[in-house]
Amino acid sequence: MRPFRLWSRFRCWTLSAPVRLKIMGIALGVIFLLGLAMTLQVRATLTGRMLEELEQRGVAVTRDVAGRAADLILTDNLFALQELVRTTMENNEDARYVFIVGRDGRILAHTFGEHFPPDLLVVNAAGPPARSRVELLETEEGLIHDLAVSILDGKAGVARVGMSERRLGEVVQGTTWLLLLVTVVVSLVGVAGAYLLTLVLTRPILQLVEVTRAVGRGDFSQQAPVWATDEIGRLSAAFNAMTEALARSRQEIEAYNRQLVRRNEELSVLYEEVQRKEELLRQLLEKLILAQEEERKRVARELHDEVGQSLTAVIMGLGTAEEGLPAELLPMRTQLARLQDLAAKTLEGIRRLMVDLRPTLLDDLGLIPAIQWYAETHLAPAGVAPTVEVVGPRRRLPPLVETALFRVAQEGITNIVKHAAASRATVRLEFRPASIAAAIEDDGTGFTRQEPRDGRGLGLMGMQERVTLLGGTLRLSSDQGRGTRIAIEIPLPDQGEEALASSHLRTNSHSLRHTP
Amino acid sequence: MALLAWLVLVLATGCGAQDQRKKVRLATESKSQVTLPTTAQKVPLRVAVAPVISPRESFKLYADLLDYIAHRIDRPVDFLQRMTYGEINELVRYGQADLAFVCDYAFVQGERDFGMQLLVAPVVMGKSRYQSYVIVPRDSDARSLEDLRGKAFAFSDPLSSSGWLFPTHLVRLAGEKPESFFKRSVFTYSHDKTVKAVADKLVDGGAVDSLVYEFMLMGDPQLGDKTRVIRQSEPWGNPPVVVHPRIDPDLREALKRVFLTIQDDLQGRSALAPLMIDRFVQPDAQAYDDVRSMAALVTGWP
Repeated sequence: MRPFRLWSRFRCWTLSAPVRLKIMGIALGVIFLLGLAMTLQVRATLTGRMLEELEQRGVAVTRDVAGRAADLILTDNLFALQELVRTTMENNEDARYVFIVGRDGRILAHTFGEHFPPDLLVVNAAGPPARSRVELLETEEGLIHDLAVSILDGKAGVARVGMSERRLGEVVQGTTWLLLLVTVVVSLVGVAGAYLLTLVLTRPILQLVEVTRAVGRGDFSQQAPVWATDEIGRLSAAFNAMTEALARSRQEIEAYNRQLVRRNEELSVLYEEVQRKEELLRQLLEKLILAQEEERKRVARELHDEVGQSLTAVIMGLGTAEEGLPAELLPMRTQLARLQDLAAKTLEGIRRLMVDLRPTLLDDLGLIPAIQWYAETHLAPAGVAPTVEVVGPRRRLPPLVETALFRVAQEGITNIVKHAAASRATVRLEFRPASIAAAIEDDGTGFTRQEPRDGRGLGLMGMQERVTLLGGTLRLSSDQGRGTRIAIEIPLPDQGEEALASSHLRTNSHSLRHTP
Repeated sequence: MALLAWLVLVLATGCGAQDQRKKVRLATESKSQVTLPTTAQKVPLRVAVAPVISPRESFKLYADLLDYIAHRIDRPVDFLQRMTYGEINELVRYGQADLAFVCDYAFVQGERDFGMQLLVAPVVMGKSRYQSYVIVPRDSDARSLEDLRGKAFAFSDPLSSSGWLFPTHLVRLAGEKPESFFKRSVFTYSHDKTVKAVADKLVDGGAVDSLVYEFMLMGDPQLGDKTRVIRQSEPWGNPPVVVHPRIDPDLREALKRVFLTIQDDLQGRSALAPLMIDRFVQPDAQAYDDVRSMAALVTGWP
């Protein structure tokens, strides 16, 4: 677990280091490790070789001493022996001591001056079968290779030479320091080289980063310089190609956008035109409807005031004339009575027409009684059982809405009477908080869309126009043999808007009054 | 850095740590106390050998013989060698050697100086006489000593009959001295060195002991290819074994007995073998007369 964490930490650390540092680190690490390994290897090899050489040289020197000492020992030439050990010592830098032991164990010559180390004599010896022998001695002056070579197979004595490792150690140490110094210098050169290399390597990357940022800001004009054909160069080239493609693509999009904007502007102009026209149409329609209503009112009033009174006067006149006729003029009287009757019927017809044109109930009692009255008076005579349902809190609605609802109901009922052959019909009013909904249903024959437009279709269109004018919706659902249902919903303005709307309506109604 | 230090430390100390090193203290204040192995308390017999051949060769050749004598007289033997015949004569004269192997001329000189006495003489390869050879390199033009006039010549020792007395005597007979006859003369102080010097052409000629020369030819036949003999002397008595005139007569008799009976046992024969000596015999004083007369001529003795 722990090594894994260490590894992941190392990985995180190395991955987050800049590439420049990584390359320099690799260079430094490789050179340093190589240098260290070389130093250690050279040191070990050098030490081994030099030790070997030291011993070989020691053996050679000792053999030489032994050879030259033989005659001197045999002829008891102690002075020459002393000269021999002295010159040998002088001529060999690594020799720490030289001495010659006689065949009886006496020391014949040595280089220690006055005091010969007492225990040195016994630590090494040579003789048959070994002509020479090496012993490694640990002294207070360091390690000494003590070499013993027998003289005349030991019959004349033994020559002993001590070769010191001191100079060897100094050479090895000096070489080691030199190698370490070289390693450090090469490391520095390597790091400098790696730095230059990273400059060359990372510059295109950094430039690429700069260009990427510029492209990110939307500046497609910048190009990543391609220094070489290596991976980074290829990346730069690919990046440039991508940037060019992006720029081209953006130009196309911009051109398309401009086209769209132009189209949009054109469309907005058209839309405004359409709206204006529509508004004009609406206003026209509104005026038309209002004018129609007003016209109907006027016609109704005219009929009431002029025709109604005239007919009443005619009836009354006929009655008076009848009463005034003698009995024998019975056929005449009968004729008069018939005329009176006809007049009364005509008056009745005119009155109905008057009501049809503009029921005073609507103005006087309101929407619901008006619809109720109209349904009863028109459906019952046609053999259709009418039902009027009201849901929600009843309240007076803006006159225009009430008129529209009434006219829709009137048209629906008229359609039922004329085409449906229904036995039952229902008018349903629902007062909703922000709207008024109405539905007119029957159980008659119904119709399909495919039926040719006749008067009923025109009536439906009128309904649609009125409802739409008030911002409402009309849905017609019908099927062959399944009856018909007309559902409308008209939004009602809020209280504040209601006041506005009413004032608007007043204005409208006011203007209507002045309309001829 | 710590790692590096550790590595260096390991490298420096790890090399020989496993060895069982002997500890020695080089600097010491006390005077050396070297205890000598105490051998027999008996007085050693001091035997001197003249450097007829080089000391190490003599040492090898005479070692067995001296050991044998030590064994026979039940006394240790001190083997004394010196660089010159003269020093050997001095050792005998002043009582520092009890017994000596010397050359004819050295004996004649000692006899004259302090009455040096013959003890025994060897018979070498069946012969009781030997000669002096004047030798030159094999390819030398010299046919006689006269041809070596003005050349470099090697003597062995000023007290050698074969190596110095004979050629000097010849030069004298020609009415000259070696210093004027030869361009240059050297003393090698042993016959084997003279043979080698001639073989290696370090000198143009030399005078050697015939016994040594033939002995060397047996050991190294190539020497025969490199040298040749241009002059031989008259045969003289082999180089004798001598004693001081005032030696203890008992010792003298004992030694004589030992020498004359060496060849009687196996050990003795093998001790004689390296020296090519068959046996030792009673010396013949007249065998050295020729040497005496040569010495008289050269040194101007009466």
